[in-house]
Amino acid sequence: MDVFSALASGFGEILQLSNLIYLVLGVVVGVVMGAIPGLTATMAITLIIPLTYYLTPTQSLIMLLAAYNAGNFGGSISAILISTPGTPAAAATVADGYGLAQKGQGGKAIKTALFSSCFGCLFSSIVLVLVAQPIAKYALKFGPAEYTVLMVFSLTIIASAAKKSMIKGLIGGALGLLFGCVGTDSMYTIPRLSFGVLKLYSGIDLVVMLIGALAVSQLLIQVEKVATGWKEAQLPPATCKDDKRFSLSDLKTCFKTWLRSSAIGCAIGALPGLGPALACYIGYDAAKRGSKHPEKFGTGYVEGVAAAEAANNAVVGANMIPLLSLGVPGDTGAAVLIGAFLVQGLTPGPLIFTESPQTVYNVYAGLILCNIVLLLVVLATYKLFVKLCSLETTIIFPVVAIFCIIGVYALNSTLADVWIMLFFAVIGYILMKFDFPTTTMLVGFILSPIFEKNFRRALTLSDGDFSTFFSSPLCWAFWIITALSLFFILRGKKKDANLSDGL
Amino acid sequence: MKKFLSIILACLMLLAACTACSNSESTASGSDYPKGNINMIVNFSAGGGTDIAARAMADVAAKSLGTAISVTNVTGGTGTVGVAELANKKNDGYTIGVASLSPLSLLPWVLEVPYTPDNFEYICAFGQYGFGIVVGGDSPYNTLDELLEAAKTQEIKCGATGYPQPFAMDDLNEATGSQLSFVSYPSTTDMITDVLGGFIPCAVCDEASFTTYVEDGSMKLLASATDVPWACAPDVPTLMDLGYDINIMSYMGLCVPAGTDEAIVAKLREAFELACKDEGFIETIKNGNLVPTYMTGEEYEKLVYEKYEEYKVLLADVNAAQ
Repeated sequence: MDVFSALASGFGEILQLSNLIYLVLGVVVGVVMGAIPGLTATMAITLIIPLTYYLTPTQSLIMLLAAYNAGNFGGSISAILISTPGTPAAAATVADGYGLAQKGQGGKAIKTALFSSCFGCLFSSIVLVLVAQPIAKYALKFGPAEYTVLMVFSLTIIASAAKKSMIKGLIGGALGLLFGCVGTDSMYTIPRLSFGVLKLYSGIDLVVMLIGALAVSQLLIQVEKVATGWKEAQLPPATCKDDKRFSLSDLKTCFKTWLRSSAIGCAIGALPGLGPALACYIGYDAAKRGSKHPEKFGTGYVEGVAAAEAANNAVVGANMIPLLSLGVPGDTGAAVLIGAFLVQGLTPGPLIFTESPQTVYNVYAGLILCNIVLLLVVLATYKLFVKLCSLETTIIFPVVAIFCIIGVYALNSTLADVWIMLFFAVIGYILMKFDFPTTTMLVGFILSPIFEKNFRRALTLSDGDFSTFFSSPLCWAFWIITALSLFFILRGKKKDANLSDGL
Repeated sequence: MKKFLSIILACLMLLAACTACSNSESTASGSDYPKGNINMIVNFSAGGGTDIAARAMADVAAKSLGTAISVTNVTGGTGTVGVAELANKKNDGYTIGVASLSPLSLLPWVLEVPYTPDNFEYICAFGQYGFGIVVGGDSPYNTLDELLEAAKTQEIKCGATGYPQPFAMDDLNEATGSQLSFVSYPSTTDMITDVLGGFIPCAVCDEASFTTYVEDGSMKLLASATDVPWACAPDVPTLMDLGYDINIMSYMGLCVPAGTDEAIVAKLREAFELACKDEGFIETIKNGNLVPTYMTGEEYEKLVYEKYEEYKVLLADVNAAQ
């Protein structure tokens, strides 16, 4: 079947009212759940799935994909306005998004995030439609050894995210790697660092750790400020029209970043097991290094928001590449989506293209259209979110605290997660007080399990022979990128040192 | 304005609270059971094979019990966290839960879990996971004999996501002198990509996740490791057909906390027996590439205890070896 005519009939199908309603519903649920800290895009899907038992395959899948995409964007709303990433995917958005909001440019930040997200998802959807099969075939060339070297490269993000003090950054990263080791050993099913607590056998959830270390610790800092007599509105009002707009010059600044971040997001999404949280950090890091103004990153700079958001939403479309072509989920959200296919009696995988091709094209069309719906829904409602955050911090933060607790509890319906969250809140608070970058801890935590399981498996499969990490051209390519990356980081640090010497 | 915004915030909070919890508490004895909603704990995540089967079964059973059954997924610890949660619930019949064979009889010997098979009353078993031995689509081995023959002269690595699958390799090695060596995989996804990518030559895998690859030819099924052939490949023999006394078993079962009123247990057993024989339910479970198998509560209980003792011995060897 011709791709474009199939896609066109897909659009025709989705635009029917009976399908469109579910698409819109998915977007709304996704944005709201994404924006609430602790309730993630993955959770939005998990909550919707039981409802989809009664829908047609098309209705069910487009609603879930819309919620997934919108949820990934929604996380940035709270990241920008209250410095609390609604989902792990928005963790890298906090620094610049909240920075902008503190300057009264919350509207601009949200619009930047919105346009970047839609661009990222559209970009990856187009890649999905055109070249899903070849990319999926290529992704299979990534064995444990290739993943390991890719993770070594990703570890260099820690070094570049370390701000003033390299040592503090590395300590943060090492802490993250350590926390990532908690749970059942992936090879021998022996519990590690679990202290006999059953809950810890399955490790620490990224969401729980993130909400604790980024959001609740922020709350503690706010409490401290209020206790010392500081009381004001959460965010200052916009001072001029430009503060609310995503202007043409912003577009110029961001366009190259969008392309780069979308490509990175696509690659991460197409490789099973990595996920949007990693994509946003790599995208952010790449943008910072490629930017003309790297010093502005982290202080409230549109390019930073654009980089993180385009990358994490590009993952959404790209995740469908291994899911549809190989039947293998790209991340936890996509893993839950597999369930939605199964509920409908469809098995994602190579056979789906011959068994129900029209459903696949409906999914493509839904994925593309949901960006437009997302754009409209958010543009119509974002002012309310911004208004909410003009309330005083003494009103906002108790509400955020409740959300965090409820969200984290709802994740697995267990109170143990709430305690883990509070533990990380204290850790995060201490790190902030002593000026350690929490980012490096989070990156370490995200990388730790992926690195470990691939490293150990690569060695098991090669009978302990380390040459396996140099056995393919892909490995070599990543080693070279790693070396280059380290070189530039060290040169950059030296420059900084020279500069401060000169002062 | 401020008031209005505060009200919106309060509403949002309520909304979030609603998504977080949906529990009903009530007490009852056998005669007027059930008076309120029943909560079912599923020990695997929403949308997985176990979840789909359990929900389909709950839908049917709810009708004959004349009440609603709401499902909560309590996941983690390869299925033990949900089972532990069930063990801790009140034994009033209003919390039932999926407790599969592996978390009940095998995992207590691997992980420290706060329960034993004594903590439960058994309602029924409602389905079986299939297992099999697969190789990549372009593998030189077309039958199990060819694979084992090759494994006699050189070690061949064989993936599995955890116990009991490696026992099949051990038994085969013992019976034929082959050298299949177990490589542990943390997740099914990792194992699928490694077999597809040719990074591992063979795997003992579950039917539900691997059927699609056997169907499209990107993997070859050499033998079924349970007592029935795979639905997608009825011609491929089971290990028992080939003369090996090997049968990896794993069932999905339904339990309530120990000490639940006998009359309530009887009512639940009756309702779920009907549900397990419902055609719609059997259709759903087959769609998920699971094997519909009904077993009464007594039978399932017997199996759980039998395996509990068996694995105690087997895993003591494994732990000693490590």
